[in-house]
Amino acid sequence: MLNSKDKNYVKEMTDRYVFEVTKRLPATQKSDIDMELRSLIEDMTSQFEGMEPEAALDAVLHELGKPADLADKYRENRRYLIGPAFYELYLLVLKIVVASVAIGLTAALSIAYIVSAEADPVGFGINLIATVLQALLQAVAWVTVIFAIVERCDGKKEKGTEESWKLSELPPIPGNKTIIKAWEPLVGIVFLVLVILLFNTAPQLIAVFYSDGGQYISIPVFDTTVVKERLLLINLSLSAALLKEAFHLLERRYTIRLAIATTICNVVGIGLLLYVFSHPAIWNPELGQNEILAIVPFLDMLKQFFAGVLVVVFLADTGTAWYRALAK
Amino acid sequence: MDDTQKIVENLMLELRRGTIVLSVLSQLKEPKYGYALVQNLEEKQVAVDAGTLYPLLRRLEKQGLLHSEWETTGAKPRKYYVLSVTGSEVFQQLCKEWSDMVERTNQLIADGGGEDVE
Repeated sequence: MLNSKDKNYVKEMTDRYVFEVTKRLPATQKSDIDMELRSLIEDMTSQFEGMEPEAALDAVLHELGKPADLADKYRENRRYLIGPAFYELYLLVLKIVVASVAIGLTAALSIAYIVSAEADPVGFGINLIATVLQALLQAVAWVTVIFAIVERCDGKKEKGTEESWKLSELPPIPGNKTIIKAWEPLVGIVFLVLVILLFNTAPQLIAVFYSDGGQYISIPVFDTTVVKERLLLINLSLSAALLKEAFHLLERRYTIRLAIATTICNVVGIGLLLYVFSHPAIWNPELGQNEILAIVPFLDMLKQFFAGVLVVVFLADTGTAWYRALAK
Repeated sequence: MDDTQKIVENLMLELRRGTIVLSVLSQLKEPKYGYALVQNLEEKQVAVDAGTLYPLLRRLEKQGLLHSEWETTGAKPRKYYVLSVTGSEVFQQLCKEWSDMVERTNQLIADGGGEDVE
C-alpha cells in the first residue's frame, strides 16, 4: 500500500488510476485517453487550492469514480453478451437444447443401464445426474458462446431490432390447418437429438430387447462396424431432419417457403438414408437367426421394404407440407 | 416519501441525460477543453461530471458533430473541442426541437393542471 506521505504519491497514484482505466480500452484510443485523463486529473486537482496535493488527488480520483466504470463509459460499444436482437432466439434455442440434452441423455443412459444388467441403482442414479449436469453445462456454454460470436459479428449493423417493416407484410392469422404448434417440432428435435446421440455413442443400443427369464437380452438391429463406416452420412441425414424441424419451429405456420425447405431437407435427408441402408451388410445378421423373437418375420419384411418405407415417409411428409401450405 | 424522492431523482437523471448533448453543444461554438467545459457548465448550474463528459465528447466527435485538436504549446497538453459544420446544423435543429418540446410539454402541464396538484 502506497503511503500518502510518499513523495511520489501523486505521480504513482495517477499512473495507477490511468492505467486501470486505459487497460480496458481498445489500443487505438489508449494513448489519447491516457493523455486526456492526466490533463484532466491535473486540472481537477488544481481546483482544490490550499489542500495538500495528496489529499486533493484522492478527492479527484474518488470523484472520477471506479476505473472500470469510467472505462465502461469510454467504451461505448455494448456491455452485454447477447443483445436484444438475439435474446429471444437465444432463449428459445437454449430451451430446446437443454430439453433435448436432458431428455435424450437420460433416455440413452437409462436404456444402457437396463441393457447392461448391472444392479446398482444408486451408482446409476449418481452417474446419471453427474453426466446430465455436465452435459447441460457444456450445452449452455456452447449455445451462449455461439450466440455471443453471432452478436459480435452482427455488430456492424445498427441495432437490428428496428428493421423496417411493411404493413402489407403482416401475415394473416393462420387457419387451424396451417398453424404449427411449437411442441410438434420440439418433440421431433428431442427425438432426433436422441437418435443422433445413439448412433454416435452407442449404436448397439438401437436393438431389439426381450426378456429371457428375468434378464434382458438385446440384439442390435444394425451392424455397428458398418454404422461407424457410414456415420458421417447418417449424421448429415439426421442433421437435415433437424434443420427441417428447426424451420418448422421458426416459421410456426405452413407456408410455401416452408414447404420448399421441407422438400429440400427431405430429399437430402432421406436420399442419404437410402444410400446408407443400401449397404447390404448394415443389418445385424444375428437378428434374422433368432428364433425366440416373434417379431423377426416382421423385421425381415421391414428390411426388404425399408427403401419403400423411406419413400412413403418422404412422400407423406413432403406432401403434407405442400397440402397444408396450399390449404386455405 | 423516501421512495417518492428516489423515483423523482431517477426520473431527473433521465431528463438530464436527455438534455446533456444540447447543453454541451451550446457551449462549444468556441474551442474549449474538457475541464473548462465542466467548469463552464457548472457556473451555469448545469452539473456534469467529468467522467461522463469526456467520453461524451469523444462520442460526439466520432459522430462528426465536433472537431478536436491537441494543444501542446501550453503548460500541459489539452484537447480542445469545437462544433463542426454538421455540429452547428444539428445544434440549430435541436434548439428548435427543444423549444417546441418545452412549449408543448408546458401546455400539457397547464392543461392538465398538473403543476399545482397536491
